[in-house]
Amino acid sequence: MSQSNRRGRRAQSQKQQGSSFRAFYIVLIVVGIAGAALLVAYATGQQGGQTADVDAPVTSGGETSGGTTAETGRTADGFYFKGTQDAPVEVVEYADFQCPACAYFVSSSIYDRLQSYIEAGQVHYVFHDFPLTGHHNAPIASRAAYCAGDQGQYWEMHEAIFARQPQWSNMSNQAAANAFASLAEELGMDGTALSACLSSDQYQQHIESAFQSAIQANVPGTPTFIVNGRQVDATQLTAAIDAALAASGGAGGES
Amino acid sequence: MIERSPYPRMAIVLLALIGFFDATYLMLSRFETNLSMVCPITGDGCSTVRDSVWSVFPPLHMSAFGLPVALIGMFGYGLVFALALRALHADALAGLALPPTLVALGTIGVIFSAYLISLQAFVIQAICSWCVLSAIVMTTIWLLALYDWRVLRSHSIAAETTLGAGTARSAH
Repeated sequence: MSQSNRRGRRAQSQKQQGSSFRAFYIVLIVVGIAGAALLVAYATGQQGGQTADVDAPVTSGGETSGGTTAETGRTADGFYFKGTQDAPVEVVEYADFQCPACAYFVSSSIYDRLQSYIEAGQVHYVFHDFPLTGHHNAPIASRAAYCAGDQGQYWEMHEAIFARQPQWSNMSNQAAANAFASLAEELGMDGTALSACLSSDQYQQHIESAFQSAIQANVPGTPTFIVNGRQVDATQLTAAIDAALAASGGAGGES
Repeated sequence: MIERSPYPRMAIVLLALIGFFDATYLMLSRFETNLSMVCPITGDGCSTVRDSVWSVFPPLHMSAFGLPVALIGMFGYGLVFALALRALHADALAGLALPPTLVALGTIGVIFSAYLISLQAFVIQAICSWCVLSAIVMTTIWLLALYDWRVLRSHSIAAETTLGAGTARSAH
């Protein structure tokens, strides 16, 4: 009798378990469908916004900097700068030519805002190369920009390399070097001279030490901005510049 | 299969699915060219963490062959999900004891989560709420897996003793 009792209890508990399993699988399927739907909605919504940047013409970036009235040149450390050295705010950007967020920054309205601060003499902007080891074409891209600088067109090349990032990112080093040479020609430079510069060891040492000094400065990622000594990311850049201008008493320039 | 409450394992399956979706969102956000991310509570923290060199393992400034940590998370949660789903109805899969395997995966996951959270707190100095969610989910999975394995061991010891007593009696 006790045995049949036990069997009965066991059958009952199995029955209970069966129904709790059914409930569990229903919950699992609902959670699965909800999660997948959210991700699909996110991914498809994202693609719509993304396609606009991919085939950006190189001239659109080139024109803004080509027509710049701001002073450009190289700092004592050899980095290119834009905007007068007497500006109240110094912005140092640590970036990598192969980093997608860095390319997005150059195509964004934040970059346009930065240019107007530079034009107004409020910002001295320095570009500090930080070619990350995981980005195999980043060092050669940095060097291509410096080589273009030898021909007097650093900032034009800088913006064009970022605008064309999707094309050269996955190329071999050699193919990317060729792409940069033809990009230089497109911008009216001497492509052969640029190729020669890239195949020499020019700027190799400079780019290597730029990487080392970024590591030593504990730069967490790219792009990172140092606004008068304060570290911010791209989304906080204009607010940080405004705060620095206010602190230096230079914000009154607009009123 | 030794009978015990299936609820801890059910919870592991559900949590692993949530963790998988979390990691998938973080992975998808890497393809996003936009600078900001959907990031509850911690504001800009998510994009700062995503764009940092530490979002790849080994870190982007140390190795040419890193994998995005979000992708590692997708694999990890996917594996836990599949094994925990199987563990609802069996204690082993192809000779592999499932409960201790889940504990082992959970332990690796908790160690990796601790590494990622401490980087956010001390090195990047920005917190990504999706990453904190993942750390909480992984820690809960680990605790549940530990509990389930303990229950299983205590039951199997009990089963062995009764079985031992039974054979001893039948020998008489």
